Amino acid sequence: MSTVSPKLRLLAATGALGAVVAVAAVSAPGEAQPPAPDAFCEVYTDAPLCEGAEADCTVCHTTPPSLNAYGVDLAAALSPGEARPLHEDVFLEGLEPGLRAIEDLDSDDDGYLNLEEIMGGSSPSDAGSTPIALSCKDTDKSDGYDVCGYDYDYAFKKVMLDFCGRSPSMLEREDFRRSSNKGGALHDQLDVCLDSEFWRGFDGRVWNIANRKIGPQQAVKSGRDGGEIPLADYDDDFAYFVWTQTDDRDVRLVLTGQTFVSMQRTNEGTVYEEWNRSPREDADLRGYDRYQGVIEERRAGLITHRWFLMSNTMFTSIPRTTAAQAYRAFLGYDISKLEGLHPIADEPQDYDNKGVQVEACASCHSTLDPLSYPFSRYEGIGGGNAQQYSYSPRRLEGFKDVDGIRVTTTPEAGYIFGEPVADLVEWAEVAANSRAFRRSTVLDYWRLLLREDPRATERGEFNDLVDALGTDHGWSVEAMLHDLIDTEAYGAP
Amino acid sequence: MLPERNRGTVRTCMMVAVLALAPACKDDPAAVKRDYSAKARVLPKSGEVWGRDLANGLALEEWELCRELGQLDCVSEAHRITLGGVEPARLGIDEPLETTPVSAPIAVDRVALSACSLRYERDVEGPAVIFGPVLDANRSSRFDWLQAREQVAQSLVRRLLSRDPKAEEVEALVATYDALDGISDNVLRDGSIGACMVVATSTEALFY
Repeated sequence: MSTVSPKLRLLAATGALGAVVAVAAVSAPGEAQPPAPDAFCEVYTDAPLCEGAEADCTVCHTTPPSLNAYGVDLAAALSPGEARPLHEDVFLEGLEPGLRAIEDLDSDDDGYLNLEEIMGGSSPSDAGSTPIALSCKDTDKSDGYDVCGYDYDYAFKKVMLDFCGRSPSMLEREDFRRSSNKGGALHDQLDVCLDSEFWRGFDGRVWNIANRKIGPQQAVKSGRDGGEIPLADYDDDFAYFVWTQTDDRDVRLVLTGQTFVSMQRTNEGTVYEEWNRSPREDADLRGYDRYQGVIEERRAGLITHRWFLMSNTMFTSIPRTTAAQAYRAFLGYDISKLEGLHPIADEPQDYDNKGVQVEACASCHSTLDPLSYPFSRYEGIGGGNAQQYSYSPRRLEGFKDVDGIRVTTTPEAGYIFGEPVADLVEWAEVAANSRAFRRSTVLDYWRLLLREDPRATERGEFNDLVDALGTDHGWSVEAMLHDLIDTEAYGAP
Repeated sequence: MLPERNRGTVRTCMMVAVLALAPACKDDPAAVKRDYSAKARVLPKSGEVWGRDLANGLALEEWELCRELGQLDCVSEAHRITLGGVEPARLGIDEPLETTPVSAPIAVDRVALSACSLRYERDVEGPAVIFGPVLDANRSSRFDWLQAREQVAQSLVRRLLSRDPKAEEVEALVATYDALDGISDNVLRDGSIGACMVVATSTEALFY
């Protein structure tokens, strides 16, 4: 069995890229362990960017397949004299000598050698990024924050701004400065702020994390502030998302929960309340344009909510867009960027006659199509044979006139991360328990609070949070945030 | 359009804002002693947070800070996206803009000018919250003019930046009144609003 990653094979198959390009194009973190980043980290074991993970694609690329300055230098030094594109074995064999050959170059022309940058935790391709040990300078630690290490006073101000939505008053800052247990006081303050309307309320910070996952469009909203074509109410989705992220709830419920959550704005703030009704009961209570249509045992958190099915599945038999959005929004893999590929043998079958077996398409669809089959029994806006937004075992019979009779043979069983699953409930279970889900969840908050992805020197701290979410944190976002504010990345000015 | 009360002070305040609390110039020996952060992760406050800080500091309600055309709230409506907000459902803007738009400083100036002007007006009507010392000094020679301006400078930094000011900051803010001498037809008003704007739109107030 080949150890070469699907992405590497795809790049070779398309012929668009030499093997050099694959050094870092194979970047998807998570279950996949592509060989090129691993090989890079075998050479530079102690490099900060190899802490707890494989090297990132940005080591050599701007946006794959485009090479950055370091990638260009490496391409020139890698197995010179060999025919291009390089065979994968030749590429891996030549990687270490190639990396060694450019260690004494300064690819980004910032005054630091490539080796100094790699071992110093900065980017060898970015002139604005220089080794930390050489750039940090704090001549007088009494003149303000300690800019070379974790500073509690700085972290306190950040917690107030990030979670409470305001700066601390002068009195609050003084009280904190005088505290004999600053660590305890900091976490007490975080607890207070985690209950603030700014953090967890309607249109608050947690609420807005869900924007890209839910994709609200007012024009087709039903219920409060509804649009002209009321198809579904995304308030259900936002409320459910915030509920899963707060009060130490199990964050996996975002994909595995089988209840719903209502949101009510009161003078005391936003109130979220869990509820559980059958589709019929909900239709009777909230009306046809708002009710949730999936029966309890077929629910899988947000990905079976009415809004998700309406806006993604729409009128398609095999809802590839729905699966791709679930994969992107909750697991961090964008298949259109060749991320998270786990090709399944004999796929794609092309049950709906869309021509996806063409080689250029099959590279992604061998992952995407089996990822999508479990979504195929959930009705969208129309085209199936049952009530909109419901679960319907025989849904695909409604599509035989459009997509051909073979569409009715599409299995409900599929695959995620190369693992077989019987249906969407099982799909969601595997997804929610994956490292990809933990990583995506932590990354949502990391980006919210630090406004960028983890830097090379911060990967250790980041990966510790990802690992702990499923263990020490008990799947609680709030527990994870208590650890996040203790990181150097958060608390060092 | 800004309210009538602001128009006479716009030009002078803009100039003052540039002059006061300016970073050390290249020849300043202090500049070479400056510390360098390894992280250098300086983030802009969202308009919502900056506006709340401004309202708290000036003892105003958030909705009072600034209204475009007298109707639209500057922070939550008119300049929402410019000041780092989002509007996913109607505009499809799911996250704050990656880079600060060129219009952001203009929006910040408008909000700060409106808010500082309102605070000054309220203080004139009394009871004063910030500008009492200079208003008293203007009314009676019993009060020391320099000391009054220093008190206002201290109050602005404490209320808007939550810390005591440095001596050079007090000096720079006091000088805003002098800088307007001969330019403004109302140095007391324009100097007060200008000093307020300087602190409210300083790097420290806008970023963290």
